[in-house]
Amino acid sequence: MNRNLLEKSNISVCPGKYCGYEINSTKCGACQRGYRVNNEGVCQLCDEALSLYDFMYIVFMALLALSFHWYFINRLQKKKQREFTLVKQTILYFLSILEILLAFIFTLLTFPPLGKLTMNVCQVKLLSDFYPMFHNPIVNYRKKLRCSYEVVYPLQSAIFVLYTYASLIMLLIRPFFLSIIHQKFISASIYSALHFYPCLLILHALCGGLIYVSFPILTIISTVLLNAIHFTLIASGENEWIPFVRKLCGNIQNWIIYLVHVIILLCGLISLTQFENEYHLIMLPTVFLPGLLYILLYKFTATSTIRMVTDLIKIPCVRNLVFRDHLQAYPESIINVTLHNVIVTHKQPDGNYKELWIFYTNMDAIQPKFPMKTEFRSQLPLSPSLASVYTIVLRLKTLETCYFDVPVLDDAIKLAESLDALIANTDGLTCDVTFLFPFCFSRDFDVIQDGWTAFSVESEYSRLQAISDEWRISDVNKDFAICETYPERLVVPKSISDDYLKRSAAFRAHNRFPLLCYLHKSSKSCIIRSSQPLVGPSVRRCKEDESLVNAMLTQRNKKGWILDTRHPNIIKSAQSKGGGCEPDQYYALWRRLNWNLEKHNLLQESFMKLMDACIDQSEKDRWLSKLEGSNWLLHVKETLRAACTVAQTIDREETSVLVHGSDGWDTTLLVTSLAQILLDPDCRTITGFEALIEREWIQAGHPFRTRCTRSAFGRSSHGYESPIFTLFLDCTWQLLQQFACSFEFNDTLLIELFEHAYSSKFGTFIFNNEKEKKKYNGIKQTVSLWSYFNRPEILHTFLNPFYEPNPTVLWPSVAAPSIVLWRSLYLRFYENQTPQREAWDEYLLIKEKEMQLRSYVNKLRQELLELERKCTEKTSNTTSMIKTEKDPVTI
Amino acid sequence: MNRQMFHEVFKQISSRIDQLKQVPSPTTQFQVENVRLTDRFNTRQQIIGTLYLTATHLIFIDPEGRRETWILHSLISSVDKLPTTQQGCPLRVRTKHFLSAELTIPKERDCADLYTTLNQLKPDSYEKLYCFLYQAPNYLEKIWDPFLLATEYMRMGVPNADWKVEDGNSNFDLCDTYPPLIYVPAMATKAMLIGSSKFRSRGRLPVLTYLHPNGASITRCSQPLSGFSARCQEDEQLLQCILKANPHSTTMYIIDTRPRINAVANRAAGKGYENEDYYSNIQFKFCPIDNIHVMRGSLQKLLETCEMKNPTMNQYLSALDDSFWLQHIKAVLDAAILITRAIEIEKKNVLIHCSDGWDRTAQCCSLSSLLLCPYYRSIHGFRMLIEKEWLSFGHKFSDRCGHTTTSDSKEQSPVFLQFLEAVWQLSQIYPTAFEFNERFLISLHDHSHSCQYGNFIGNCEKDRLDLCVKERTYSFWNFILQNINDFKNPLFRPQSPYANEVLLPTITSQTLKFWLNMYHRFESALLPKENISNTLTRLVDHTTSLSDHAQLLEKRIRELRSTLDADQITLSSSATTTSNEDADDSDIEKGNQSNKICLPEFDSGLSDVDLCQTQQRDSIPSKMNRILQPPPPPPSFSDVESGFSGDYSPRGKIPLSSFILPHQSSLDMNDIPTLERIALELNSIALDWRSYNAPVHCDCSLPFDSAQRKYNCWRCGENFCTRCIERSIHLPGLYSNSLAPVCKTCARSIKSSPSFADFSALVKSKSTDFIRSQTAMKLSRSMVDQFNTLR
Repeated sequence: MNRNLLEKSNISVCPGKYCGYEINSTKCGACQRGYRVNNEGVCQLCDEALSLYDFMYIVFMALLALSFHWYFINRLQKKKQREFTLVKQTILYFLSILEILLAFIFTLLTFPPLGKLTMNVCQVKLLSDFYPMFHNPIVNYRKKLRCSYEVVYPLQSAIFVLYTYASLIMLLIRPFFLSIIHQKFISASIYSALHFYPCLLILHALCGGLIYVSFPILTIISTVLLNAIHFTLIASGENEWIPFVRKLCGNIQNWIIYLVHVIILLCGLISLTQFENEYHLIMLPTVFLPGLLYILLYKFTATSTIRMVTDLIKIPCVRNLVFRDHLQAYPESIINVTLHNVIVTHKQPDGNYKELWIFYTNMDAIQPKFPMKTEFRSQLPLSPSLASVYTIVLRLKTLETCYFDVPVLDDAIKLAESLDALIANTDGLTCDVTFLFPFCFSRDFDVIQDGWTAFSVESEYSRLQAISDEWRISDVNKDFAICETYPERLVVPKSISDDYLKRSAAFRAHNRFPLLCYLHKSSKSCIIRSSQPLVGPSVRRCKEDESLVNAMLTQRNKKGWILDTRHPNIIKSAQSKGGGCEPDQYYALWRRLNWNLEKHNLLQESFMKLMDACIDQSEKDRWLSKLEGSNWLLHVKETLRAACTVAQTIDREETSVLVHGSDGWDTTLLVTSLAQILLDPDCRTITGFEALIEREWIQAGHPFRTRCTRSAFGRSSHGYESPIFTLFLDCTWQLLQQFACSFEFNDTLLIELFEHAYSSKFGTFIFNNEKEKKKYNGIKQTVSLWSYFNRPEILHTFLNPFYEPNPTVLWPSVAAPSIVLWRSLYLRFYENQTPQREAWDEYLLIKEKEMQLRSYVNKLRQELLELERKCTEKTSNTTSMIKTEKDPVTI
Repeated sequence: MNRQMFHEVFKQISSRIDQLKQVPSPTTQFQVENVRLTDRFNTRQQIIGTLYLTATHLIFIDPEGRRETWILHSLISSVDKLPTTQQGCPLRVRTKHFLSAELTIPKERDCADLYTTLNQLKPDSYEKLYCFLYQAPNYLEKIWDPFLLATEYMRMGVPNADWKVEDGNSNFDLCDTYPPLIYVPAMATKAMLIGSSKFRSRGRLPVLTYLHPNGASITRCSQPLSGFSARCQEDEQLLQCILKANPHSTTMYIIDTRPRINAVANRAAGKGYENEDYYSNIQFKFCPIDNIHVMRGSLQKLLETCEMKNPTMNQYLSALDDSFWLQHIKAVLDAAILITRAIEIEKKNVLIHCSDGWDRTAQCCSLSSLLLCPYYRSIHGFRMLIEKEWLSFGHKFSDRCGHTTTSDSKEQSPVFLQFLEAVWQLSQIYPTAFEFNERFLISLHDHSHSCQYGNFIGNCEKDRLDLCVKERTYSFWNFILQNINDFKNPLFRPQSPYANEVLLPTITSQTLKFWLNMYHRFESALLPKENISNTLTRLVDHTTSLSDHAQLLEKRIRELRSTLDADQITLSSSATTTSNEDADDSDIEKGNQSNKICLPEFDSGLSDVDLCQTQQRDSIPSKMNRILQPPPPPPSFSDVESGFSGDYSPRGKIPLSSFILPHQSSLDMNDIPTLERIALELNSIALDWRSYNAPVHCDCSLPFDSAQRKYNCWRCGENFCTRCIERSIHLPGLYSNSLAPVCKTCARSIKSSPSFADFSALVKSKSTDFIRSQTAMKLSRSMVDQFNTLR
């Protein structure tokens, strides 16, 4: 074009795109500041009005700086959570807005026309306007003519000025702010700003043109993206639409962020369209669309889980490894790390492939056993057999141990790292429940009886009603208003009003007021559980609590017992912290009994030591003394003794017992549930036992998720894990082996329960309490374990062939020789179980054979009698017919 | 009632006492009233009762006569006087079968008397042992089924090309603790044997005890008198012969079951172990099992643990650990597994010895044979094993069990008990592999101490021959045979791989359990309250009774049907003549037709399907019955015994058929059954048996505890204790006329019923009432009625 002009006008025109003649000179070169070359190659003053697009560009650059500010402030907040309050944060946000705004205004004022909130600009015509240095003409192929100047005056310099102003203002304002609130760490925001401003400047200097051209699109894309990310972060943990929206709308911060996003999007849209016609105005409301769309389509796009877990998996598949357990080794196995499972495919001796599925929640601990890299390699580089085996020991919560011999070091390290990260990810407190497998597990069997509704308060109540009519169902805990760890509907004494319950709840730790858990048929005495009373050092008193407890003392003439599962010393220290036990003077109708059951963390120690002893293969250590050192059997014995004492009181002394520890959801449940097994024949049936667990453990608020975070091998970060439920199962097993014919179930049920408590695809044991279950909508989202158990084909495997209903109370032996180790649980992966299984088959066979023969003989007898009857009939017929010919005696 | 019974027994005993001149006179009768028996776990509850001392037993009876404690004198291991308390003089009686009773006697003089008498009672010579006085109940006879070592070796396929039998020891001149016949390599010469026996301690030269089907063998001997440098050409040659007797291997193991230090110490005494330089191609190994003195101490500590009063869990466990008992058992098992591996996997010959070759050697040889050969896991095989390894090769039962006062107390040691416990541990690992049960092992242990039977008297074969035990005493095996059902493992599965193959268990210290039923068997409070194994036995018994009964019923149905058909033919032939009965007749015919259509359906509906199922499923009873039918009724047991001794190939068939009670096949009873007869038959078998859990005590008011063997009467199905059961009744309802356990009342009623003696003379009028009284029959009546209405 220039060439054409050159030819046409016949005036010597400057070569190059941006070289021009100044008005008063003939020298061809760069224009003055504030001028740009026009079509004729003459420099012209920039006096065009600021276009909307240009204005938006400056605004965009300002917003860019602002977003950096905010980002760093936000990061600061994450680092120093405690000191950095929301108020200070907000102040800081506003300060940064103020700075940028001031800088923006000053910039507008600075440029001509001076003192006015506008600018005279030169129109940007091409992208190359920003980069005139690339268009310096070379005259006669000899001399390069330098025509680099600010063609797009003042858009380029304005940004520099803007940032300089912004940093200067910041340096003026923020120290002032700092001196007010005396918190030095906030200065970090200044330092970070001092870092990013130069960066932004360089960015602008280099890519200014590109940004200028593309910023509307950039803005729109990035806001939409950021919007989505923001929603995803909020949404994490919510699977349902309504709670998500509720969560979204409930927070003001969300609103602000959403509005900011909308504004930015609006900016992008404005700069893109520039309102050239009225149709563009119609487009404006679309700024709300991305957010709304995200919310509306949320249900289909909740992909956060996948993203989080897949981040942890460093290697999805390792081949050619040797998989070993304690009894066998399988070469050429393949390990696959999938979304919820680690799948180990191994070849059976018979050639078939078998898959071992390990839930993430089932992994307890991992111990990589790698030979020392450098030394080992340098010394033994040539022996591949030694150098190439890297063993990863994976211990599962179900007490199994898996060994993976990985041939490649790199794979081994990656595998170990990903498994380690996955284990850490399942930590009960930090891990989100909805990420767990039960929420993704879709039922693959027909439900005969839904486990979630099988054990309701109403059915329990109707049972009670048959024994005594002094009880009622109360809705006092609706929406968990009183106590978070109790179910919503409760059975309480008729004589006590809801107000009393509320006040009593306030007097007990965690609001767990005294609640009936068992009513004995013959004596009408009951077992009551609660948490410790908040007596405190000043010995507070709560009359409502007293009357509530006394109302449950059904036998008025006898004193009841309060069994405190703690040692007196622990009670004393608890009292100084606000807890304690019922003072005798206020609870005159009760006598107190202390029982030394260990706290949850000591039990965990004991459990770990027990398994350590069980898997110890070395010959030297004395196994029995290790077993003794673990104290596990001691705990079993003490628990059983406590339960027996309660049962004795209920059945023999015929008076009520109140059991509590400190929280009332650990050892308390242990004692009350075991006592019920001893007392109540119904609890020894399968359904009864399920109901007992549902009632006494799940609905009573035993925090399964935190307690079962780790099993015997691992340690969690919070240290709340404890094998209390395992101890309960162990005690039940002790009863089962002492009373082999009084239980409808066998130890398979107990082992299955143990496994499901620690890791399961069912939702029964993954919540800490009923409230949590309701919050995460566990009933709809997950499948109940009981639905799975109560199908005939599964139920069949739990049946005890020798079961004969035993209506009496069980009195087990709690002497030391009678308490034995539960081998079929603790040693089941370390001893060959096939002979035992064969013996079990034989049991079933013998029983079945007996039953069959019995019915067979019965049928034969009937058949015989019928034949006999016919014979007699016939003989009588024959005798009537042929009267004397035949002797009637012989048939 | 119980008291009466006791007095009867007492009278019997006292009448017999007159005959027993050997027993010192003051012990004949002794009675102390108001004795307290202290329960260890329940110190508050003391039982006050009367203590009787008879010639053979110490009997304690509590006032209600509900519980009796009988202690055989020969089982008493120690009597201690404890410091006097307010209530009197406590006397603690400990027995060899782990009963520890604390008797508090009000008068101190009585106590002192009792103490001295009890201490004097211990026999000071073999002649005074209980077995020479013991009068068994009628069903036991003084029959010793011959145990011939030769048959046992024949079962293993010896003598053969590699091994021969040598009668050099027929006068016990080579070695007086060996049996007359010894089995040695075919290449061994007499000179070698004599030389070797001189070089070995007590002349116990290497002889064959077990030959595995793969050619590897176990030989046993005692330690060589090698000292530091001595060697013996003949012994070395003999070992080479043993090595060459196995074609598959070029080396052999010599396993010394002592700890190395003991073996080295023995060298100083001129004994020691084989020098590997002198014997070529041998691999020498030590399997550290401690000696009898350590074991005695260990048992002592174990029993102290058992006697602890209300120990805490930790006290108990650490005491158990300190006794080292389970570690010793593990050492024995480890040695046996090592030998088993050497033979089964490496196919090498193994020579085992300890010091004298009769304690640890016997343990290791018998245990490894048990692991190697399934035959030894049957009752009969186990008997053979004990006869061979323990009795023939001279385990010193009298010394180790302390039968008489003449034996040194330092010679006592629980070697045999350890073996039994090791077997028990194995049976816990493999519940389906052994034909015998825990009770069998326990009674073996008890009777090795009780001297009730002559089997375990004396220190070796020679002693028993000298004492003529076979003529003068009863045989323990006969006792077992008579009560065989009590000793069978209900879980035994002959077709299981564990019952047919070599067992190679992996034993860790966690594997071993404490044998509660052995050491705590008299503390029923400690034992599980409901015993599965008893329930299982009950079920198995019930199955046997029912299947037997079912067979009879099937037969009766067949017979009735055939008579019915016969009548039918006669009827139809005669019916044509009269038109009057035509309707009736056709009716009957129709009925019969429909019956014919119906019956097969009925048949297939129950009997066929059920039978098939039951026969497929239950191999044992049906097999038993199949085997039962062909042989003629052998009246004595020896015939049965000899029947199976040749029956066994080394890899063993199902050993169950070996022990079958004598019986008479009822096939000969082809008479047409009368109604009365059928009623009687139906009446004599109970369809349902009372479970063991429900009753607390027997009819004779003896309280049941979980460890006791309880019996169901086959006729009424109720529970009874051992004493209230009679076994000599043939129930009419059984197909295989075998003897069935029946309670005394039922026995009386059966015997008194005239029908029992003569079925044909059964009262005709009574019979119909009889039938109607049966509930099962009422049921069937209603069914028949329904059937009629439907028709």
